[in-house]
Amino acid sequence: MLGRRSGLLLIAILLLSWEMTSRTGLVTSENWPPVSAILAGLVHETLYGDLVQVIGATLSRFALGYVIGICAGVIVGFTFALVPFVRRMFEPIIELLRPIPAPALVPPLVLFLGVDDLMKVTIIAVTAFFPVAINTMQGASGVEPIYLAVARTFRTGPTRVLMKIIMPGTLPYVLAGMRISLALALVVTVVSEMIAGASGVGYYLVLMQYAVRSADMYAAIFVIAALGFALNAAFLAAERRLIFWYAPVP
Amino acid sequence: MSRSRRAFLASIGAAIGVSALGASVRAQSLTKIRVGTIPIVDSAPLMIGIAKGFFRDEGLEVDTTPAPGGAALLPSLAAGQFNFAFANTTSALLAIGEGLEFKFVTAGCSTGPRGPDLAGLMARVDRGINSGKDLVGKRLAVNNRNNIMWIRAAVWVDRTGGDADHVTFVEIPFPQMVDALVNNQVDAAMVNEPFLTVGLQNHHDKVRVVSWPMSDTAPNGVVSEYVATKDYIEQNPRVIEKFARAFAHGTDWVLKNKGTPEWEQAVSAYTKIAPERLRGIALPVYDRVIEPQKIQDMIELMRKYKILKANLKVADLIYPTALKQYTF
Repeated sequence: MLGRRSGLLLIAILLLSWEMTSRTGLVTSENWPPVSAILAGLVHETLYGDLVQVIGATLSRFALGYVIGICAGVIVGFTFALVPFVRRMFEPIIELLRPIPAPALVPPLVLFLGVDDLMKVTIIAVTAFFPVAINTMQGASGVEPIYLAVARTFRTGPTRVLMKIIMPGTLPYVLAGMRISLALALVVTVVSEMIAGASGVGYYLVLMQYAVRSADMYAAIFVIAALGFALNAAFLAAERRLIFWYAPVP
Repeated sequence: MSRSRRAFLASIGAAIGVSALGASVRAQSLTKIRVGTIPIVDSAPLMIGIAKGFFRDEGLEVDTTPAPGGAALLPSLAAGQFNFAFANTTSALLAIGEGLEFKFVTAGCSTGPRGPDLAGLMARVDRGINSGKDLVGKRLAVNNRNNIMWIRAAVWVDRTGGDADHVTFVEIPFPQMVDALVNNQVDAAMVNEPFLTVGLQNHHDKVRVVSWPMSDTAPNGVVSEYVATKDYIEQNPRVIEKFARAFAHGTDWVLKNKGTPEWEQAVSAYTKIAPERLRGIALPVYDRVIEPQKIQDMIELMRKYKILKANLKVADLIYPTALKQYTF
């Protein structure tokens, strides 16, 4: 019972109790539709409604912002690790900006960047940037000193040291940062869509809520959850293949 | 190919080319405008007007950006992200009082002479809430503070023996208000349609409407308008006129077709509310023109409740298009 299946079983039990409490009237609320109605709405909206196009819009924004953010994060992380002067200059501002939550950033960004994709992709990229930058910097700075010593003994050039020692050594950290960024970036994508603009799953969610169609609203929420789960699982699979040699300390 | 056939094909090609060019020229001659709206029943004249082509007839191509809530619209308007925005009177006047240079360019909605109207004060049946006096020391849910819902509710509390300063106003979004009321998280709630009717249907034994603060305190009172910035108006007077005329046409259609199945389909299309839910809900009064006295009344009310400090002059705030009567 404590095997892998137990997780799925728990989810099934929770969904069943949701269905029961709604159907029997134990919980009466417009905002607590039966799970069967949610799934029916999901199917209907996918086949006849806008849901596919809406998800596509969200995913494309997410992908663009995420890729920009992690690339910037890797570049800045390495720069900070290899050029201490740059790090000293920029670290305070990064530490000041990092704790600001995305919903607080949306209104001032709307002022300068509007309510469309530019604003949303910017905020997604900013969110994805920080975990990757910090992890990359720590990974690149924390390469085992003995490897560097061996390289020095063999008079290895700086480029080879970077490519053969520092980068592979940093990779597990970079990937860990990217996985954290993945979850955060998806959340921020949806949140930015809920606050401003008129496309994507976040907006669809709010629209369904105000249209008194809570089953369709929950359908959108289920889709977001499934997306996050799938993206994370795919990332883990890729990670296992890329750093097959890495055994994190348990 | 024979000469005559070639000539014939050439003339066909020329005709297609000229009409394509003409079509593209016509398309390019449409002025693009961006309007910030909220996808609710109140914005029917605009949304249905667009769907019916009234704006295209005036040479305007309208890009509507529905906002999940009104809060993002006015700052975006001030920043130039929109050319026009839908706003409730109170929030618009607040923004103007803060120094943002908006003007009212078309009318929006008002409440009727009496209830049921577009928002009602709901309470649990077993709590004995009948007047403002019963709400002293209690919690009253509004969707936002310092907007039209809040101020009308506060006035009602004061006029029915209570004191708005001693009522705790709690911000809860409309879709969650009835849940909060039923679960005793608040003692009363200022609920908008269609959530009012839906709430009464789901919990008819637990909640009831105590009063209609909007029409009770201000019969035929103004609720909303469309605004634009002073700079945009000065730079684009023609566009404002066209917008106002197309909008008036939308209002005209809505007033003539309110409650019909065609109306239900049209409203359902942009709100995504199922047509059945639209039957029987209280509708706002769609105004053809703004009545300056009503805006003046709101200014005085806001100054009395100390949310507006500036002594705004109504004449400065209303652009002539909002006062013009059109016939169709």
